[in-house]
Amino acid sequence: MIVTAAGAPSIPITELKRTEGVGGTGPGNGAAPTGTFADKLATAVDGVSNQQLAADDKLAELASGENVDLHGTMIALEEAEITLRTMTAVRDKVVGAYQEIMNMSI
Amino acid sequence: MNLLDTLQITASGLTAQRLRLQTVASNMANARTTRTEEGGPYKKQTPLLEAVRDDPFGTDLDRAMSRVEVMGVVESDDPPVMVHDPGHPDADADGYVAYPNVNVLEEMVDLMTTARTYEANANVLDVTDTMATTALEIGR
Repeated sequence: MIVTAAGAPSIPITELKRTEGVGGTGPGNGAAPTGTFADKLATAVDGVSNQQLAADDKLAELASGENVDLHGTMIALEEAEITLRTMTAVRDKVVGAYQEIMNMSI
Repeated sequence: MNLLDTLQITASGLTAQRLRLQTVASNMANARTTRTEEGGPYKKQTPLLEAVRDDPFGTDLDRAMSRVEVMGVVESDDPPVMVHDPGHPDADADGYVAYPNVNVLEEMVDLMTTARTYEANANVLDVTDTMATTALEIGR
């Protein structure tokens, strides 16, 4: 499913690239242990992306008449929405924590 | 067991009710059908629902939860309704026509319970969504 505001150019969520360097490949961090926060975040974002793609597939099938599973499609959309909202909530927390630190007076 | 599993269980309930609706539609449409491929009048179809463990290898709590699946559709063995109508092409030697063992009133009741059960499952879906929203607002 392509998330788009009315009129705005739509960017498929799969094209969002994972960020690097949040404890990943920076100097002094060569042997980063698996399961860093960045890895977990990337996995979570991939999960959200997969949900969106699954919902997208269902919608395409419904639109082309291949599959007329109405509630299955709605549930796939619902799952995609819940995971996306969860991701947004995590993003808000991360940004909040970052700003908290940036605003710290030294 | 998370909220998305709940959605899957609800989805199975909705699917089961939709298939039930299909059998009701079939029974209603064929309420007066005197010919079938197998010969004889149409027979009332009833879906067979079965509870299937949602996650047989999960925790005790996961194993306690079941989805619903339609395992098959069974034909009713009730005798056909015999109506005296000698002019009918399918009348037997005594002038009786075998009509399906479908009772339209019973089908109407089935139709209503199917619609209500579907609604109830859709409500579970709404509540799941509300709970997810509430959970995401914790600490805001």
